[in-house]
Amino acid sequence: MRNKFKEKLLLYKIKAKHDPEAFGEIYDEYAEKIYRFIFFKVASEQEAEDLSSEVFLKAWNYLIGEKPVKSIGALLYTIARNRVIDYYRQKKFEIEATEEMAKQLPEDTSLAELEKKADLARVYKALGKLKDEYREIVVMRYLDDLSIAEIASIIQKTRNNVRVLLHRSVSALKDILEEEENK
Amino acid sequence: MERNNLIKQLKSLSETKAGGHCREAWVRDTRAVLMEKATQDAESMPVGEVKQMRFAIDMGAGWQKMMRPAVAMAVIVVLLFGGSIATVSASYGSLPGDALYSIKIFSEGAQLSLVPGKENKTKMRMDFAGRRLDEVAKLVETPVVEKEKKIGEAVGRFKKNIEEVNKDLDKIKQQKNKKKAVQVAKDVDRKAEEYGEAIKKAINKVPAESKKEVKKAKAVVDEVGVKAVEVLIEKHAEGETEEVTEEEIIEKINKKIQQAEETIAEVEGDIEEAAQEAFEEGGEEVVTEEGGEEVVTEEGGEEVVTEEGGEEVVEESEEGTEVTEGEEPVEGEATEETTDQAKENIEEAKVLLDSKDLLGALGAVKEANTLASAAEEEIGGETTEEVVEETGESVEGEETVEGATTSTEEIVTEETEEPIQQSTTTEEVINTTE
Repeated sequence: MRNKFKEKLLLYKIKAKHDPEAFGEIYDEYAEKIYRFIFFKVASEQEAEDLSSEVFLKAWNYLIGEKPVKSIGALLYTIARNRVIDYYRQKKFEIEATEEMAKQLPEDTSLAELEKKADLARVYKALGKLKDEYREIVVMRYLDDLSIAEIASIIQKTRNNVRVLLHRSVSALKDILEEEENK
Repeated sequence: MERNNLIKQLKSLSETKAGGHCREAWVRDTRAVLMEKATQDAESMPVGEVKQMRFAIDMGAGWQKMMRPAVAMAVIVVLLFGGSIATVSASYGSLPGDALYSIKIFSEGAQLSLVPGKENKTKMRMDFAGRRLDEVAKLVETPVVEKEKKIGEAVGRFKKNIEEVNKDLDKIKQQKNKKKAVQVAKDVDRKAEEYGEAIKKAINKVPAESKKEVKKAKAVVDEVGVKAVEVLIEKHAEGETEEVTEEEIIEKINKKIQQAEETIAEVEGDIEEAAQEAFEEGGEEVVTEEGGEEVVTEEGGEEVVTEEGGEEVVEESEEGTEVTEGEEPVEGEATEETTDQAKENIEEAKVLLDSKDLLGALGAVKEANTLASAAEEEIGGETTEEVVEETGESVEGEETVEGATTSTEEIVTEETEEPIQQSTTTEEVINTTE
């Protein structure tokens, strides 16, 4: 959420008054972002929808609890990350979780709409070949439009580390695209 | 592609469905359910007790005045969310494929998250599984488009619920409160039997394409019933309890034996049916019994043998070629062997039960059920292969992703300017100062 003051105000309304409307505003702001974040990690739209819904429900329960909350964005993405990990644990993918996640990009059915945008389709496919940590940070930064500071608090790294990681991620993506072009 | 151009492409990807652009209907429905839950929580908190909660926001003084019109807010909340409460109520009768179905499923998830104690959650999951069967029954009776797909969704969710209950029972087995554990196990067993019967009734009415999945659901529910009895045996073995007697357990095991025998008989019926189909497809021999008369017909244009009214008529075909006997399919033999083993297990279970080895008897029943499922799967597998062969469709192997295995730790060590600790708990993240 770009407007920090507004976010803090909403946070207050939820914490102090259990205000559903304030939570609704948070939901409106983050629904698509959280969905996208999960969508790039699981196998289907259906799973992404189910998991995203759960994330918001968990977030609400957490917000109305006694524990302090500093950033709603960080809270939501952290719950989403942990929920995806649990999802793969439930599917008995504990050991190969990262590897599997990387493979589990949604199927190509939705690529039809990208037919007219060949470049986009290539970027999409290349994103699927990117390792999970790289893809995660690219999605947060460029698709979800999160700030470096927000990403840093979500993935528990310093801002500098995030910048370095982001640079490497884009370079890796670029390499994959070039490799594909040269084939 | 230039770096800047690539970043532009990434940004515009977010506008597309492939880039994770979500369905508007989902956003709207989920919002309605969340608001419903949030409103209920807000209403359950008495106004006088609304506390200034401890939370780490430094907003400065005076801002609280902005929050004053709480009464106005409450009125707005009631006006705004009256509609969403109606939406959730309306969703109760929805079926897979309906616009409100996702709300129904999500509100069940919300209820599960609210109910305290794993025993209550297990009971609730079992109830929700029952709802899925009601949906199947309704779908069977209603003329709807994509019936198989919708039945498939309800059955899939039913199986998921039951599998969760199965996992719950493993935890409940460790439960020290014997009374609670026994109560839940009995409840699960009773409902598993009820659902098993309902599936048996429904199985002949569902479309042919859905039968395989429905049979799997039956196997899953039988399995959970056996697991529930296992919990009862273990709790009984821990020491005498008023909650469950040995006679009661023996009666339950007998029921499971009976159930397994019925399943094996059904599988045997399916094997015969599959063998029959194999003959028919091979065009070699068709055997039908009509009104007490036996009609045996070779359909390869070779020979026709009919027995009607005690008279035997043998007709040579025009070509006068020799008759060839239809061969028995090898796969059929394999599945028959599996069911024979299952039958042996049942006999073993009976002997063990007579000698009061309850756990041993139940183990043998479990084994028999597993074998019956395996045999059913074998028959199903043959059918699928045949369909693939017939349609000439080939399944391409999944593309492998290279270089996708780097762990988080590897990245941390790559960048080791500052050592970073990975946190997995929400709390740690929230408490970390920026």
